[in-house]
Amino acid sequence: MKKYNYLPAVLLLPLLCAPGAQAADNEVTGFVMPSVKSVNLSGNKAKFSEYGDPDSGFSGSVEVKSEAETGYVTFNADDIAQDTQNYTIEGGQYGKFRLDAFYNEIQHNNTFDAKTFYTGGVGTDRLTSPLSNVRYGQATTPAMVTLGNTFDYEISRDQYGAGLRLDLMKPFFANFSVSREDRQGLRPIGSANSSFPAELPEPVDYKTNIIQAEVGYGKDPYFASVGYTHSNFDNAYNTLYFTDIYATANQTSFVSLPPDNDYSKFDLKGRVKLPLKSALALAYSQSKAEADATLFNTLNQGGTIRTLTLADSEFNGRVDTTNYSAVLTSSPLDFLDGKIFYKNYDTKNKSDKISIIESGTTGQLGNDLFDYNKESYGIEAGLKLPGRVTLTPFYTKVETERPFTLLPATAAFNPSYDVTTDDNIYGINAKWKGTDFISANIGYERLDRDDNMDSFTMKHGTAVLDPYTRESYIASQKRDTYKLGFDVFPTDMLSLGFTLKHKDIDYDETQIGLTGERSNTYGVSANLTPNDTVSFSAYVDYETATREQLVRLGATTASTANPVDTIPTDAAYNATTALKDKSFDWGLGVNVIAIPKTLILSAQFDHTRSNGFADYTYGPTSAAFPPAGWTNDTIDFNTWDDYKKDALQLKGTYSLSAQVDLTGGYAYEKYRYSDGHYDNYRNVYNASATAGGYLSGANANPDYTANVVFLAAKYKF
Amino acid sequence: MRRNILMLSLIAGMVALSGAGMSVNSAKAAAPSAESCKDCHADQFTSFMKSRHAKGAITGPNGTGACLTCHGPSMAAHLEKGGGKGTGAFAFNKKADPEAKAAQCLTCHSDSKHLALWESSKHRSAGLSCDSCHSGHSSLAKNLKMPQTELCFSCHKDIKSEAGRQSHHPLKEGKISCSDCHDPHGSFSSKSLKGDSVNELCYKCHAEKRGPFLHEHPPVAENCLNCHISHGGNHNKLLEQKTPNLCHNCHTGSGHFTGPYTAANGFSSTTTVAARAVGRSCLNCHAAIHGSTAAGKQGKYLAR
Repeated sequence: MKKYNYLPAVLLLPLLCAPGAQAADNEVTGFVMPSVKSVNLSGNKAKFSEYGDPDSGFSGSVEVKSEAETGYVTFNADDIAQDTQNYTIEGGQYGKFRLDAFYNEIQHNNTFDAKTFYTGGVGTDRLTSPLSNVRYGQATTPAMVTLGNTFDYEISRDQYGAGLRLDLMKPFFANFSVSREDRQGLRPIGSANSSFPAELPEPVDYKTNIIQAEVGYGKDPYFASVGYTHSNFDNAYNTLYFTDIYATANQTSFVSLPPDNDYSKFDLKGRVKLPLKSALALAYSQSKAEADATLFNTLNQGGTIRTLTLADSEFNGRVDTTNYSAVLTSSPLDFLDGKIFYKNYDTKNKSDKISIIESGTTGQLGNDLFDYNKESYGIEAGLKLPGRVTLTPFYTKVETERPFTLLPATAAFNPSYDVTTDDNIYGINAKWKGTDFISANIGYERLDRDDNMDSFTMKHGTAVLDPYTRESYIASQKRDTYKLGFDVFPTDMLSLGFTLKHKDIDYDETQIGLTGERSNTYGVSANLTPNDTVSFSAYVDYETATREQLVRLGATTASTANPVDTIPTDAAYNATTALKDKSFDWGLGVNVIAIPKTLILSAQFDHTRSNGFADYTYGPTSAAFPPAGWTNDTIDFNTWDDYKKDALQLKGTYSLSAQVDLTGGYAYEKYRYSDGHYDNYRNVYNASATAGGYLSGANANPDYTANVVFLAAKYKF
Repeated sequence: MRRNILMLSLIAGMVALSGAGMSVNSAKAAAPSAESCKDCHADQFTSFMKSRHAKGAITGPNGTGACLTCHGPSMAAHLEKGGGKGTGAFAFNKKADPEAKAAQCLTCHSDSKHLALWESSKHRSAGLSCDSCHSGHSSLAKNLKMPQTELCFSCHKDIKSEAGRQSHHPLKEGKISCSDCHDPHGSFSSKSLKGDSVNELCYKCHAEKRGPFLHEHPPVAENCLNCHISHGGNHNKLLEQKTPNLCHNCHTGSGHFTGPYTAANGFSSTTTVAARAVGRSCLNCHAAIHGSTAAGKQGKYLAR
């Protein structure tokens, strides 16, 4: 893979803008705004600052604009010295060229003070520890329980790049840009050896370079462009090695990490305006993604070294994608606005097909090559009717093919293959602009999806179940979506908005799997401005979502009869699941100009919460289920990613003079979380038995309460 | 906290640049036609003069400038009649026909590459025009009426609600913007996406998921949105549902994955704790869910 390191020098390119912005009529404006914040936090620091900087300290912003009649240069800096600092500089001459450069940091904090029993190598691709620390199932496992070594799950992205837009030779134009992202940190990764997991800190040390170029022509009625994109991803660690937790001797296991990859894309776009207020737009693109990997010829599984016989130890991955699209729009009559479109998206997996035989396992374990072709076309007609009503009926047809290239394999490993889906999507939207004080819109959409999964045997090994089982993302379904919205302006001071949305999905051919989804969404918003000095805003959103599943353990005796209808007599069991999520958020804001041109006060309160419930019901088939000591009334998860967040911000801005503003404020946040998978969290569970596992603490205990005081002084020039 | 000496270079360059030959707060020479509107439309005049549309190098067709470019040419009659509503000037208000308003802007901007697909855009067919989002008087980036995320949320309130939920892309934190993924002026893809497919778009920031892998996970290779939502939701990692139930949508029928994992299997259970009902559930073992380059059964199962 090629590597690039060209960007730092390019960042200074905007300085070339100087001639355009140094004319005598230049005007320089901007501001400098140093700031300080004090954070008082109890609880989970990472969750509090998921995308931010959690620490107290100084920061600031700067903006400089230099503008002339013919050109400009602007510079912005925000969150200076914070984990989220970003800088942009842009300049150019109007109608001739523009140069820009940026530097941006994105922080994503997941969990601080996670724990591991590995004593060495955290942050690298080799986790090491004395065997006594890590061996699972020993009579005493002191290090596993003590878990003395801590680390932080966090990812930092440093992004920088530059761009150039040339309009000097209008109607021809050209755009060039280069960017780079350095991503570093740790994320949790699972590792299963035998049947039990060990959660490990995966090192993240990625570099991604992107080059883009586009040249084109734009002059009515024609537009045409040619583009090229190249993206290069480099992972410093393609494998994570670790002292095996389950081995009886000192052995090393591994987990594969993302391979380096290389992507390039060439694209053409064009549009021509036609008579009768029509336009035809066309696009074509071809891309190629490649990745290489050296395959290991042994695998440690629970202390047993498995030998892998590989047809080829080097995997060369390649996926080619071709896309072409056409859109014809026309408004031949004042009341008609039509659109016809076609799109074909096709991927071909040209990777190596490698047969693999693993000792102790029957059959071949070769890789399956997944192709994908999606063809869609449709029509949309906007009809402007009297009474300021617009009706827009639409129809879209989507045909998707998913051919697999299979190597010989045992039935247990065969994925579903050659699944096609045939979608018919149709509906109508109506918009009424009504009067000056009210407008409304209503819409309906229907999706009829038909799959062909009843015509072949799928992967499950127990073929008797196949006619009843569907994979939801490719399963036949009937989906109805209804939308309704009002915007009302009873007075000049008040605006109100109402939205309703109902969605109902019936997976009508699925008897085992996801069988149905329903959701209802309600929203109300209001803005009130009684006079020039006070304004209020408020919103309420509420959503209920339910998903229903029927799951089945098929490894036991399988009847040849319909597995749903035979619940009372089938030795295997079925269970239904109903997952219910209720999301609710509301907010209230007020903005007051307490002293005109001198003092502005504002307050904003936001409340967000979710209540989930996982309702399980076993069929009346076996005494073994529900488990002993449990009933259908007690096995439900009463908390299911439940959370509640309150956020309050009070802020005041006082203008000392035309040049100086002082801003001060207080912010409060409280977050509480509860979930059946995390409540009473333990890093090590069932450590003294023969079943169990080790978790490092990722996502656990995210509750926090924070009080923040902030001050800023803004000097404008 | 990290510092980058590169930033100092940029700042230094900027300072040097702004200091060379520039007069701070120098008086701006107003275009005559704008001056003639100033007495009646003082606020509009002030905002216009701060905008890029007021720059001398930016002129309308046939050299017209300032107010006349967008509010004329019948503005002459407006002036002759001494102003007032309905006296000729083109107004960008709610009553005006969106197509007519857009046509005013397209007089100058129709050659822009950003508007090449405006005729087929969803915003156009929904009855929006340029002034729904932009103002010729704005001094913000792209002449937007307000910062971009706030602007988009003012109509897409359901997305605003989703983006505020506990698991979300950093939209409200300002680290990404709607236009990173969507083109409001139209694209060849549904939802006005900037990529030819959802995955192509996602891989721009999540290049490590691109592969190709030895063992692919077909729904992943097909569409990231088979498992994830894009704006925000209640479940970690922007998952549409919580695992293991998300996985049960496809993996049911046989094997250890098919049974329900209930409160009987959680940390609070006094009977059995299962790796599939605690922590990250299925992902406790099947870590390479986006694809694996490990050979053998564990690789095929995306567990290595």
